Amino acid sequence: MIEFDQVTMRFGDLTVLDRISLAMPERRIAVVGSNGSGKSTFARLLNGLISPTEGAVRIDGLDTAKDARAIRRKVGFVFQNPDNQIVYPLVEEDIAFGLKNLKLPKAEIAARVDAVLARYGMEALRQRPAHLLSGGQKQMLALSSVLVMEPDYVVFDEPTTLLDLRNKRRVARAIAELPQTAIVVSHDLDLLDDFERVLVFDGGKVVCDDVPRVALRFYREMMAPDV
Amino acid sequence: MFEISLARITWLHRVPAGVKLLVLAVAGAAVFLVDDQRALAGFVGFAVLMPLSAWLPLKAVLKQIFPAAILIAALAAFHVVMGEPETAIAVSARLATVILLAVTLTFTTRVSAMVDAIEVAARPLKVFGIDPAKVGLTLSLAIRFIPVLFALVGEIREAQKARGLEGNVIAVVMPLLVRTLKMADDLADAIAARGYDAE
Repeated sequence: MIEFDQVTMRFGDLTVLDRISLAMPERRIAVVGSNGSGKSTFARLLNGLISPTEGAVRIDGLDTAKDARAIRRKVGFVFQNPDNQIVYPLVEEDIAFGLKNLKLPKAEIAARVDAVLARYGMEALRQRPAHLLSGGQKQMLALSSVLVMEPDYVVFDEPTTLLDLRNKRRVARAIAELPQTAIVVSHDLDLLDDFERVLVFDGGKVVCDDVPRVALRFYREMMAPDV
Repeated sequence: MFEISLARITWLHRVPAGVKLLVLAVAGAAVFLVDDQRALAGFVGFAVLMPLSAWLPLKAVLKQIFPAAILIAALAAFHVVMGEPETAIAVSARLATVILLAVTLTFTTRVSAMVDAIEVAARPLKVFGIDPAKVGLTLSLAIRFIPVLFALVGEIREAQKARGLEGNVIAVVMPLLVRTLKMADDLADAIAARGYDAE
């Protein structure tokens, strides 16, 4: 379970998150909000990429500020722009990167890379240079590189923003089929209809926390009250 | 760039990356130490034989070496015009040897294997406080981001052209710098998120 306990995040004088307290046992959690509302900061706190200025974030009881190494094994993170997260030039080498960091035996690394490539129908791309992939293929590579580490939670920071409709659907299907808990930050509201819980952020606070039907209506009205 | 050729797996594909890197380093240094034209011809012959013996796709190899070939031709022409035909031959032979061997290396070796080999070679540097894993990661990132940066430059140039700023170097360099720094920041987050431990 994900817990936020009176979490405040400041960057200099700017308060980005203001005393957030949440307990999230759900498996599909969405985060929406205007630009600068604090939702990406919220996502980065989940993986321990940043630590709260005040309060604590706990994942299954582990404090993200104190147990960073364990948290990164437990929580995967898929960024908005896959180009900025692919480390190795070739597809299969990039997927293996995280596993090498875990110092797993070579045979296990190879087996897990094969399995994730097969799962997403990317076997034919395994030797392809990452820079020659399409936007959708790059995002699937980024997702594969995270999932191969078998995290319990996967955080997505605007995963479909740079994709065309076909690839948006592909990524949406991949997220829907995940056995893991998924926390998705997105402006793509169609992606979130089947989620269990939606948090609406505004000015560093959660201003609505409900099922998609209620929270997304609230968000639409908040963003365009005159439309 | 760094497109490994797997159309046919040959003996050269199976040679360990460390051995190939060593051969490249030794041959690359030795060819600059000899002046004898027969020896230089031997080096060029060896360098031509390597991609041929690995059955590398000729078209792809020529595409890779084409920019370097133009440079070599220009240098050779310069020395000929200056009345130094022997220097022209020597310079051409040396550069051709190094470039052909380097291209053969990249076509027959995975980047991860090269990085692993360099990490092993860099182990003695630990005594100077240099982490071999960081050397390897830096190398792989450099290789990975060359095409990304080229694409970024193209994108920015196109955007500035649309605004009537073609030929304005500052208009390309400034956004390139800002976006590269942002990219570096995001990349550092992504590497940390995937369990890389800098310590």
